[in-house]
Amino acid sequence: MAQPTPVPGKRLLTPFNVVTGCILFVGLALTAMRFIGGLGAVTNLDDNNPWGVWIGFDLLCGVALAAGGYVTSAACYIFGLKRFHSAVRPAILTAFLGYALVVFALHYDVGRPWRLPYPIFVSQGTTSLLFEVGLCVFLYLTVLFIEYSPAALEWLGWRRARNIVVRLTLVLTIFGVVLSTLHQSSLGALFLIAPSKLHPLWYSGYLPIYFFVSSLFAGMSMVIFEGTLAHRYLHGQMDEAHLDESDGVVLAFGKAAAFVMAGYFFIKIIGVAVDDNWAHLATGWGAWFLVELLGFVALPAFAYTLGVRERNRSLIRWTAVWTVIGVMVNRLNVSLVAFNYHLPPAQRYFPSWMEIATSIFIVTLGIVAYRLITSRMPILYEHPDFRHEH
Amino acid sequence: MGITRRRFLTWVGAAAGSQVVVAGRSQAAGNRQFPGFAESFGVLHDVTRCIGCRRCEAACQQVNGLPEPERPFDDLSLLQQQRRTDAGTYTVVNRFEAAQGPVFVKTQCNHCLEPACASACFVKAFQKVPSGAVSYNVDVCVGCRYCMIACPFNIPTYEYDNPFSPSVQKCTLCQPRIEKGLLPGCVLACPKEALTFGQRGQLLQTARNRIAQHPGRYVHHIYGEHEMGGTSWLYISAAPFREIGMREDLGTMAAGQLTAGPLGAVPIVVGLWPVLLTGIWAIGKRKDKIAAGERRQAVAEAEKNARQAAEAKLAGLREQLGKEKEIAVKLAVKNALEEAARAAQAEALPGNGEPESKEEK
Amino acid sequence: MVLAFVYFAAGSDQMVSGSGRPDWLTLSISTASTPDEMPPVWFAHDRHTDALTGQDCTTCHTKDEGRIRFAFKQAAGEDYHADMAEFHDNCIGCHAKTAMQGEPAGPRAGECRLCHTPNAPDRSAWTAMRFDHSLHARHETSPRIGPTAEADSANCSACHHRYNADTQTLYYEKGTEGACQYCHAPVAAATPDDPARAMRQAAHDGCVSCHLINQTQAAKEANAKFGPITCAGCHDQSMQAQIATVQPLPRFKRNQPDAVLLATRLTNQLAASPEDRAPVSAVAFNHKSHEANVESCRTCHHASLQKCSDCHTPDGSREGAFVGLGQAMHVADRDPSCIGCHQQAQTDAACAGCHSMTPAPDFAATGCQACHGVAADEQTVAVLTDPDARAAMAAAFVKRRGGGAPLPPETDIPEIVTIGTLSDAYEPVRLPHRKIVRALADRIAENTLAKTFHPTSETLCQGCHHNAAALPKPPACASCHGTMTATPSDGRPALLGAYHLQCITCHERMGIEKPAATACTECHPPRSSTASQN
Repeated sequence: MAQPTPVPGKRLLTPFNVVTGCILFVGLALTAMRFIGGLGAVTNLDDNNPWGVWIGFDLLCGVALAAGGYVTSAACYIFGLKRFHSAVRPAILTAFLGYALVVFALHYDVGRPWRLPYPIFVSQGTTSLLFEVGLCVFLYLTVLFIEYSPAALEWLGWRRARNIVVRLTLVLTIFGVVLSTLHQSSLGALFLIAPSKLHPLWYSGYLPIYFFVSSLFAGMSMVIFEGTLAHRYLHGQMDEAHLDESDGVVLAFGKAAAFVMAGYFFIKIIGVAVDDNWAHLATGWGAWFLVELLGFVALPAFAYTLGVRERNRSLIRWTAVWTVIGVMVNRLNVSLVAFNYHLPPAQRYFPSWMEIATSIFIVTLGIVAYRLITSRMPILYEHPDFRHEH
Repeated sequence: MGITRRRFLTWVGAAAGSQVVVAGRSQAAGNRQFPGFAESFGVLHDVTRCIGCRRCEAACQQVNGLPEPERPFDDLSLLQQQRRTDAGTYTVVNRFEAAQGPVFVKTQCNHCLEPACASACFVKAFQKVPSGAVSYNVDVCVGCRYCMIACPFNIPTYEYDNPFSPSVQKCTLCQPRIEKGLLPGCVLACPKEALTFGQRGQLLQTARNRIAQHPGRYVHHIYGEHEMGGTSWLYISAAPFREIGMREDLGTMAAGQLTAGPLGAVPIVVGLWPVLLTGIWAIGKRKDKIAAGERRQAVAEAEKNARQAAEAKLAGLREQLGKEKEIAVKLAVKNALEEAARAAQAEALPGNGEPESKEEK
Repeated sequence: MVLAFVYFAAGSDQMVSGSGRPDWLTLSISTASTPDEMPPVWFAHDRHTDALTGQDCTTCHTKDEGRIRFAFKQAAGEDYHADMAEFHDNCIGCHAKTAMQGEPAGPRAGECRLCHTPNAPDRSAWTAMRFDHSLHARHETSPRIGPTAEADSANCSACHHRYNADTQTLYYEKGTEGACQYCHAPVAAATPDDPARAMRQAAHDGCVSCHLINQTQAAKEANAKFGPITCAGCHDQSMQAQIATVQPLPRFKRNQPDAVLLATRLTNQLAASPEDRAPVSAVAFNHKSHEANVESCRTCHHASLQKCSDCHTPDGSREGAFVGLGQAMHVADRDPSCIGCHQQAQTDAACAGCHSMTPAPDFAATGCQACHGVAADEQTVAVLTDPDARAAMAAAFVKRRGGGAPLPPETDIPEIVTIGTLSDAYEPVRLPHRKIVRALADRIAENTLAKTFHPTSETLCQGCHHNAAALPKPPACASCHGTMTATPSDGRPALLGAYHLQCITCHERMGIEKPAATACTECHPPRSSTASQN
């Protein structure tokens, strides 16, 4: 059943609200600094390191972790796994918010944010993988908005519009998977143009495939992780179906993630073999690569397997966090750590606290928006007027 | 878009003209390479001739109206540190200690034949123009800085301190001057002709001649002839290029070819994914349908069996009931007869209510 | 076959003496089946000979017919573990014994890694020893070294020998002496097929043994000299520099000619049918002067003392590694070839000013006839079959050569040349023309090779006034380099570049440090108001 929306003014000074308020205040101050003083005022970017944590984390990790949307909707609507139905709406909402925040974060990072529509509407640089990313993200954000809209329309009570959208579900889901395949992989392919700058262990012709495959288990792990958080903090807003299905979702996604991660592990090994990069494994970079591959892919995959076999839900939930961190490690490695590996340490990039604070600010915005929406719209429960209409 | 290629018969006779160019096109597939615009210009930098006087830097600052540096150009002590181009500097000369003694190398945009920046730019801000330059259009630039990621020579720079109209900054090959028939500023200023301006093909010939005529002086490598698909700026040197800050591991593939694979896969994904996914969905649907049909059939079967069983049971019950009825009737008749018999007996023995102790049956 | 190898730590020739040691060797026992489990031992040889003063070499080495064999005596080289035990027992045993006596001693049992290290504990300053012409002369004339063979009346047989494969013995044959390395390869070990020991081994067994014998002799006489017996004595750069050189150098006594008529091509042409003939002029080669100016015979005679054309046939042969005669003489970037060596000579600071500017090989100034000066005429053809006449002819040609050329009278050489090209920015440059000419002429006069190849005074002028006919009054630079911008098609610099390339490159190559290349105003006096250059 829907919870009544909290009365404003009632218990405003919760710890969550205080922390959030501080973060938002700092974020707004940094926003002002960035748009008054330019990028140089808040970032450690320079001519050798044009991309920093706003791309490496906000864009690359953001998009990868928002992959839960297409994975869950595809599982439910294309692969016909109806028991995930209750997980679709939260996943779609998370994905929509995730993508919206990625686009929002890009406004901070690019020099002239008001020109962000240019590649689509003014001058199309079709030879660029970034064009592909931009176009797909733009289209997918639209698709996600439409996919999320039934919740808003139910909340508004616009029955006819809602029914039209619901009828489009399959088409939208397929379109979403196509777009996700393209831009998830393209984010990896972005770095194909710089073989001389990315360490050979991370540079591979398979980068696009790596990014796509890892986005699959990143998305699944995020769905498990968000479900855990929602259960802990938004338990009261869930309905019977959601509560009944959640354990099944955890087990099934854990199982699927274990499979995909095993496959990912093998194609990564194949990548090392194809480029004959074995010798690099014996170096310091190789050790770090193995930490990423064994510590954040092979071991979590094993932990998932164990959790599924023993039906140990809390192990699966912890492994989901572990995997999500692992995907972040991979994305940051490709974009920041192993990028420009050949430069002397003095010329390497490390983010300023302001960049990190801005990223935290943007993530916080997402959490606040999620709470606002889930507390008002039928995300974690089915709208009583529309029950059993899918 | 059409290409109008202007033939520059001699650079002296070059007159400016408008041109619309499609440049930096990467071939998504096929073994095709763009050999560069015919008769496009370039510069040959003979590293052995450079004396590190920084006059090219001064000229560059002057012709491009760049900000005055903190330290004047005749302050050669700057050469003690390794410098790179930045938003206010299109070219720098660096000093390296090689086996031959000090070596000075000028760095600036190499104006690739198939530029990585142009391939990477998602608003086509960079274009390789037929005259040889890689031009930059600030009017469409979004400021994503992917060009800087892509450039193998680490050339493009960014105005990080400009809040509202930051742009990418790099050497222009003095394209406006070339169009007017003037030499690039740095070439004009070089007192030792360490920089030679001309058509790239001829420059290659010049470089080969110099290498051949001075055996043992130069390493047998024209840097830029094939690097990253070739560049308009060429270098010859006595010291191995890796010892003077130039990477020899860039390969000969143009940047566009590096990303051709993923780009070529886009239409394939767009074409096949919906088919596959719809197929999966349809198979799932059909399975559901068949399962539903089978379910219906099973239910009907079960109903029929149940009905038959019920009927059989009913018949049995009826039979049993009939039998029971018969027995009851018989019993009732018998009882009635006995009753009647007893009544008859009682009437036959009046006053004597005692029954006979024994009676034969 | 098990061998105990001693590797000498080769240092680069640029090692500065005074840092590092010249005497590092690595000791390792290597067998095919048992790889060394530890890194080799770095052994500082001179440190041990210094420490063992009063003991002779037999402490560690065996004596064989009065000569020391320079391998460690106990290592029989037959069994890995036995040899290892011998080394360990002897080295550590001696260290322990020395330590017992209260003396400073080397590492002992348990301190394995002090000896077994992957890299030298200290930089190796080992420098190869070059037995040059002068050193040869000193040995040749040394009274201490006597002939060892009856056929010999001089010192030659003390070192030079030949090998009889049938009797497997060494013998001496007068007139066949050659460089050691013709038979003794630098580091290859002796094999049944090639019994010559490696040069390294042969040299130490031969030279050092002999020096030691002379040392004992010299000890009986006051102030007598003997050769080095320590590693540093030969392989330290500063010690090498102290070896006295013989001046003037005596000729080698191998019946070599003073002048040779090189006419292989011409001879072969004469055998061809008349219509195929394209006779090549012969070369009168000054053997005597080359002998005096190269380090050793091996500089040219890199594999044997035979004629070049014995191996380098005109079309190439297996013996000559398919390097044809023309190639052997003319390849510009190979050292043993004539032109390669002459090119090399041009990199000398005295020559490089002009010669780094002129394309190589530069036949334009001298033409082929500078070497090929003996015309292929009947007179020449007539002497080809008569060795004495050939030699006489070559000698006559050689004698005519190399006088250099007198400079034209002072008055014909402009003293100052004023260059006003950049006069919008600077005062005109005053070029001290006559001073430059004199400086170049002086350098030519000091050098036989230069004198030979600068037959006229105009040849000197060609350094700057290149690509113009050798005229007494060459055309002005601007007549060819007239434009201020370059035309890359012919590689000709424009005037600004031409002047600066010429002057600055020349100064740089000749090591003239003042004025510095970037010190504009030291040549171009500044103007009070500097206009822009564009």
